[in-house]
Amino acid sequence: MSDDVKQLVSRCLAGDQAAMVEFVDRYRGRVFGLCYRMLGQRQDAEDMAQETFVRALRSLARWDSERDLEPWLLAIAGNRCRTMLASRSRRPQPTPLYDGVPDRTPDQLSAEHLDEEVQLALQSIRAEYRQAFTMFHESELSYAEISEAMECPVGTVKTWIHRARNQLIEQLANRGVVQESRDAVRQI
Amino acid sequence: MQCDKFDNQINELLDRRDHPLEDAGVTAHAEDCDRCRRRLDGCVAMLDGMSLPRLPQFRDDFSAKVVSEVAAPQVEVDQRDGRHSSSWMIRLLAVAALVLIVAIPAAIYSLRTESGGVADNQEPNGDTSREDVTDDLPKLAVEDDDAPNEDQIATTDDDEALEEMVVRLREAWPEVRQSIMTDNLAAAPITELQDGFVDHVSVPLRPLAVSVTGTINIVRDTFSRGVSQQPSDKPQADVRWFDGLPSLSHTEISGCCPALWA
Repeated sequence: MSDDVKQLVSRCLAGDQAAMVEFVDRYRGRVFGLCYRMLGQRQDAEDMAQETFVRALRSLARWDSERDLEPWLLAIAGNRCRTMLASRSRRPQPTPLYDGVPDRTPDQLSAEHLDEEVQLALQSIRAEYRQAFTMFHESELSYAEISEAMECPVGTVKTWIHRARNQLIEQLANRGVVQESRDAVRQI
Repeated sequence: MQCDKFDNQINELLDRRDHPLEDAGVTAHAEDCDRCRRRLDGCVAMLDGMSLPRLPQFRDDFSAKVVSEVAAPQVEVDQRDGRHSSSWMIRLLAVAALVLIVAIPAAIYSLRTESGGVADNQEPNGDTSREDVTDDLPKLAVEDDDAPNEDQIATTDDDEALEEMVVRLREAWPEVRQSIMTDNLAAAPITELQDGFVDHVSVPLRPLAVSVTGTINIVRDTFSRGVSQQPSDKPQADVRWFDGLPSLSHTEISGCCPALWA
């Protein structure tokens, strides 16, 4: 754990609001990324990211400074998202509105379409698989860190991630998004 | 390379965060195998999709809002507790309704037996030809099947006992009705629910609603022969049989189960 993170946390614990803003700014991209992959909706992801930071800052005193902060933060985010997914499954969902922005180039559209396809495939797999997969491939946590964050054995995490990959690969191949992905990546 | 080894190799490469296209063995096998080429393409699409730059456009006040919320006094609302309590409330109401449903006919039969009611398989004139029709109903006490006693039929004691039953039913009915119906429908006059009462109650409580209508059927059957002395082979839709139930009226009962009155 780097000293600047420890200092930042100390300032947050002392009630320094500027430090809290800095704390949120530093990690919000990673937290939002996990929430977005987990929930599939931008607005929900933003709400969950906000809730994650509120909870984290309120319970920062309980964080073990010997351990990395980011897995701890992502664990909170993952738990909040799974709670939301559970409550979402108990009530009917409104049809999401398309929040498209005009004036996009074909390349941007292609990249967005690929993003949507991956997102669609992710939403079809189990929440635990999705969380472990996203933590590994997007947050780039190690198996050990994911295991700690999700409070389950490393072997279980590996199994979840392998299954997630197999299901995603199968779905994306079936939907024929391969060529689009090459175009999108080439343009970016 | 075999196809199963191909799959394992892909997973191992991804575990090491290597790209599968950089592995010569994998790409060579994919060129010769349609199935594995398709999977390799899917894998590449997955990795490309996960690596796309996605810069979230947060609200300008995102961080400030978080900080202000952290600084605000904490009011914990445990939603799970609320959900559990409402769940328990529904269960409690369902149990209460069930108890009432079982208790009402039991009380009726008990009172009928104590007051020396007429036998179910016995017509006022002593004719037992209805035996086949009413054989599934509880048998009430009679001293002599062959010599019907006029005192056993619609006596003053019977009327008092029936009056008491009517009072009990009248008191119990609103609670039963409240328990088994959805909130909106509970407030509606019962006369508006005549078309398919059971269909209007919430799904988990439908068995109870069916029980209620069954109970009403028993009540109707008992009262119809106990009070009005109507032979049971008369049309069941004759609402005049319920003249003995001024408040728990035929309107309410028929509203509960129109099928019984069809």
